[in-house]
Amino acid sequence: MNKITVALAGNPNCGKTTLFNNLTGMRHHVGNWPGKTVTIERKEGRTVYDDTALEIVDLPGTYSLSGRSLEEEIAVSYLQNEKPDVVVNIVDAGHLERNLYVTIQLIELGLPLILALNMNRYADSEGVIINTKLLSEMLGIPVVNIEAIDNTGKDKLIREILARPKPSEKIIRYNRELEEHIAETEKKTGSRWTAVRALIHGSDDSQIEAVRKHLTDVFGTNPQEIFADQRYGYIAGVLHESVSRMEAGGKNQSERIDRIITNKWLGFPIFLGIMYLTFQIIFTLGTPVMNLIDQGFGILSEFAAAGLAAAQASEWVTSLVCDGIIGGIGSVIVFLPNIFLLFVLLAILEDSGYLARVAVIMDRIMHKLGLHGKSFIPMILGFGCSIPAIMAARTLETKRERNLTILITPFMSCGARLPVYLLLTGIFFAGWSQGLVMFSLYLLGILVALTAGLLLRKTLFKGESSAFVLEMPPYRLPTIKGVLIHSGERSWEFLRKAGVIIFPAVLLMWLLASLPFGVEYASSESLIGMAGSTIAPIFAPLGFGFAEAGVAILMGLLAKEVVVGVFGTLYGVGDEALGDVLMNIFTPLSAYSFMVFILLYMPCLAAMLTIRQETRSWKLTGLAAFGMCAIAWIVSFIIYQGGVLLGFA
Amino acid sequence: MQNESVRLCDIPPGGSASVIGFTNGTNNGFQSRLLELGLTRSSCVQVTGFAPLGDPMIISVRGCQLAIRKKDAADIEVVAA
Repeated sequence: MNKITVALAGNPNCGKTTLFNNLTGMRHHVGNWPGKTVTIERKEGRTVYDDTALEIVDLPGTYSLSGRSLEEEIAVSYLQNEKPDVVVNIVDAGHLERNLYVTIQLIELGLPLILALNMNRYADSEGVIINTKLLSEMLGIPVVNIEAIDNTGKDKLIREILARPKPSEKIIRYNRELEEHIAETEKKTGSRWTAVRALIHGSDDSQIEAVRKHLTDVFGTNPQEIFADQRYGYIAGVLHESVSRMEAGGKNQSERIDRIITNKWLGFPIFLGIMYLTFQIIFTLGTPVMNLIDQGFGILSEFAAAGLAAAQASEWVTSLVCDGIIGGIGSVIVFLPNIFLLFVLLAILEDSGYLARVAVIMDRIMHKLGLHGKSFIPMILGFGCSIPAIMAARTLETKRERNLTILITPFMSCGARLPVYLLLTGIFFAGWSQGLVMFSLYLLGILVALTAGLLLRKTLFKGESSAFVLEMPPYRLPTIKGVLIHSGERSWEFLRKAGVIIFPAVLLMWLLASLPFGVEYASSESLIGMAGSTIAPIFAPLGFGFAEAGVAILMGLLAKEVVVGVFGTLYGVGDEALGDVLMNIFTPLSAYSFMVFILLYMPCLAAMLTIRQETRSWKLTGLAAFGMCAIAWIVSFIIYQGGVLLGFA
Repeated sequence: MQNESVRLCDIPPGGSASVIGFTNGTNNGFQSRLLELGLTRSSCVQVTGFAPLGDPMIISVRGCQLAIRKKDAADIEVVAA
């Protein structure tokens, strides 16, 4: 079978990943680009057409091929060294001018190229009319109209790929002065592309440096600006011929929406409103499904117990199967509806373009922490699961910003903490106040994250944030397929983590609660009971200084969702009776204080390991663990003692 | 008077301007990024508005919306159009 390697290149937000998903289906492999200090996802997929296998590689989205940022460096080195058979350059038809900047560099690079014009419907609605045939002639490459979100143009694109296009001969010509120096430099560097790059970005060669100095004198500005000027000039020429604009439809809809979304008075209320709505939706839609799953596992457990009794299994086997295994798996699966819903809602916010606005709205505040507005995006993803959120900090530009963002992200209340709130607010608070209590916890997480960021900035992470420039992609209606792929991937990541860490954690808990042999399950004589009572006094000033809470907190170090299961196991009761038991030991105030502690203390083991992996520092990881526990204690202390003083006890 | 150059951050919302250059215009990465995004000489910039807290400012260049801090926009010299 023939094999063609196809690289997808283009700007961020141009629909590249959507096209990738569309071409490969769900059959793809996520790996890492090799040899980098920070890992960036490498997506590869394979698909077969007409007896030809297409190996498709999704390159990181870039605004240029200068190789300055990590993403660009990866894209350029892949294109230069691995020389894919075909490069498909996806461009946003509505923003052709800026998108073609990468295109002319790809042409300069001399690789076989196809231009995939995406989002034509959107461009149409904006009144942009593109003469595809003329554009194709002028650039010297095939141009295909596609819609990445559905199958429009997909067959045509594949036919063009299978036809194996040749590199374009219509390479951009700069003005005469520049061309002379490019020709001269080319003799040294070997190719036009490397010559242009050396002239733009400088080189060790003193002769090239002399040429750059000369160009700077002649043009009165540095080579970067000279080349950018002429490239954009060339693009303007191409577009002048091949694109026309209808004046009538030309009013930009995104700008109009932004006038409301980023409005001085409405911006923050809208942001808070959207966050509040998100959690209300999860609460209302997710909880019934969750209860259903819970009941299902209850029935399964009874069924297993009956079966084991009939087989005359010993008591500890029954306990292992029912409490340990079924209870353990159940305690994980039960959160899946909520977590999946959260991921779906976050994906909608992300794909619609709203998250980019949040970064803009929050930049002023994040700037005070020496961070970028962009740092707020990992923090928001932290509402889903800390692990992908911590990994999302990779997109930040400096190491200082990455590490600082990673350290404060776990304060954002992740989906695994949600069941703890669901359980306790369900028992101790009624009606509308449930939503309010939950909302206050999420808000508290943000406030503590920001305060901790400010403290860290004044101490360990002194410095300025890198300059801020962020593209605000046009608002788009998210597609069902896109949102499902997005949230499906993240939910799967959570389940995998759950399988690897949470399940053994629950089994470990069962073991600790059963040892030494002969003790009553999870009684104060068991190992875990002893550990719990030992640390319990530490929590007395916080309102929950009893052994069971201590055990739950210890087990929560392995995975926060285990906390709920621990109460069930320790008191040896099902979910319905659990309410009555907890009523006897918690007051609404101490329950709230307990939830605050669960929110803020160190994240689960898997998240800690991710912090270690991303920061590459045990010191920072240790600092995070200790710091978060200390902060959790202090904040819970203030809330509980403050509440007692105010007479809420 | 009309052709006097000002800083981009001084253009009011709704106003547009034409880029002259970068005031501390040397080889720094941030400026290259802006150049790549299309803020080249004599390109047209519209100021769409400001974020709720007054910073960053939102500008429109070559049909794309960008957010940029006022501090950084102060280094971009423009002529009001």
